[in-house]
Amino acid sequence: MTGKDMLLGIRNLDADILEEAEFGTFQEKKTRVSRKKTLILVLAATLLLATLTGAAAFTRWSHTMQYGRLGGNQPSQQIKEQAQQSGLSVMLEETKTGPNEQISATDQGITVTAVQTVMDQHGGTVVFRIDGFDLPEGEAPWLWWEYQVDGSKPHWSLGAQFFNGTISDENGNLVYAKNGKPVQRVGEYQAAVLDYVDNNGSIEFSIDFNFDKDDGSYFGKEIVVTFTGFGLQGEKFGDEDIMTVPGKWELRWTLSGSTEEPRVWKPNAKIGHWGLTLLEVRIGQYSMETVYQLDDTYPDYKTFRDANEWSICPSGVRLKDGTDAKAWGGGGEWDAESRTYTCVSTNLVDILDPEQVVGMYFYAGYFINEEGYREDKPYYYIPFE
Amino acid sequence: MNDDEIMKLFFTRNEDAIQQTARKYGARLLALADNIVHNREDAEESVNDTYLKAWDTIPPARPEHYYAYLAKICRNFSFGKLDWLNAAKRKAEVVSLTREMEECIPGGVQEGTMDAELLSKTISAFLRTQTPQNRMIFVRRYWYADPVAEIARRYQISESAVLMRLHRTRSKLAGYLKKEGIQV
Repeated sequence: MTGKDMLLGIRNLDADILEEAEFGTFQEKKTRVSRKKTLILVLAATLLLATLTGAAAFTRWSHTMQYGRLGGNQPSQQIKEQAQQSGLSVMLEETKTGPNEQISATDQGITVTAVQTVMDQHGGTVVFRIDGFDLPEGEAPWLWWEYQVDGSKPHWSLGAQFFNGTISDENGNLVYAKNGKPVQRVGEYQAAVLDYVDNNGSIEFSIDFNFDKDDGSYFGKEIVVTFTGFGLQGEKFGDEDIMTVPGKWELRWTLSGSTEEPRVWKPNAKIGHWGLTLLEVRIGQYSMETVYQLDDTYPDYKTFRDANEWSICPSGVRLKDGTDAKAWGGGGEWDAESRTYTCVSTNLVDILDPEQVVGMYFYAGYFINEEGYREDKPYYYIPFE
Repeated sequence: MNDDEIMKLFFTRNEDAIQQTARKYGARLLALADNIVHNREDAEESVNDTYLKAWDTIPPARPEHYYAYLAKICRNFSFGKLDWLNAAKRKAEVVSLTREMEECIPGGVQEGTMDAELLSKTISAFLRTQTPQNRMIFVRRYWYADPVAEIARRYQISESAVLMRLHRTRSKLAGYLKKEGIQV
């Protein structure tokens, strides 16, 4: 039997499995980073200094937020200052020092510290620093955790990831944050060799929360995050990650974030050929809402989505300087009476200055190029001004 | 229109059944066919053949999972139209798929045949032992023939994460087939 035979032979997989892959929701309790050999580099002091010189004023921020999440842009000094002034970004070691707050805990020789939160009324990101965990060479870290807010577990959706030491350079190529060198690639699939461990031996872990209420009522409430073990991402045992250091690390502090009003536009503009009008856009520093009106081509949003297999949420925004800031995903609600759909995109890839936004763009589908591969069509761009 | 209502149209031999099917699932079927044949004309032909096949087989068939029923037909037509030799020359996605699937053949044994029905049943059983995320990624790649970049975008994870999960699942599938005594 050949690979071709296998490919053809699986034609009758169970129907529910096929429909799950077509219509199912990809629920990630924890967003995992690929397990690849960790690169531990001995850096030349000059290279390190060169890297740090330009970033000296920004070093207070966690690596996760400083280097740009999910392949996004690095925040400028101005963006960072705005984020701190509005209360969006909070450096916990400086501010969360109340008698009932404990942002650092040590057990089994490992110290976990909550170092930064970036939150608005829709949700946000919490970054933790882990010191004292000895990550063997060639392994990827894993950890076990749970959380409560005001004594109970809210219905928040969430994802989490380790900072893997890589960033995109100005050409979009993956380089190491430590030294700007191109990322090493290995194996048949040229997978990136990731670099989890900072020069000082620490590892950063972050959790993205999407609140189930957007009225800011979670601010002022106590959050308790409890870690119950550290270990390694499994490979030999498939998805069974291996806890090597069980213990208890309990952190607690009062949630705070920005409740600044977003900037509002009313483009009232058609998007491509979808029978869809972008009615209103509300953009904050770390989240955005978009409101659409469907024409009568489709009876409802579900039919529209099924027929077009197209994400109604924006792919990003364009800034005054001509650069783009990506926006990934988002979810929302259909209002049958007004025939409008509202998409909320939280935990944006980039922290934004809404005053710099001049437009928004949307995925426009794909075509098969001459080499026989899929290629994105030019995005639909909606200018705001 | 929901699937039950479309079924009623089929059973009353109302040709609107095809139009409603096309409206509801046409884009998805076209994407599936496109992934395999990489040619818009052939893809559209596969989808149209699918509608005709559905018209010819419903009734008596009354598929509980209507989309999966259509998708299976469409996939078969699409692979039937694929010029494997030419695909290899163009290094199309399907070549990568076949190479990756070869890794699932246990023990490097590449001789012999296996009933496709049994193979599908066995692999379905294996997939049920996997996490929903890994199962969905595997099915998107090897059943729907999605490019890795497309899977990464669909599930909003990195391409390297997709590749790693596929690699793991293939390894586990090879072990599973071997353990089950499957000689493929």
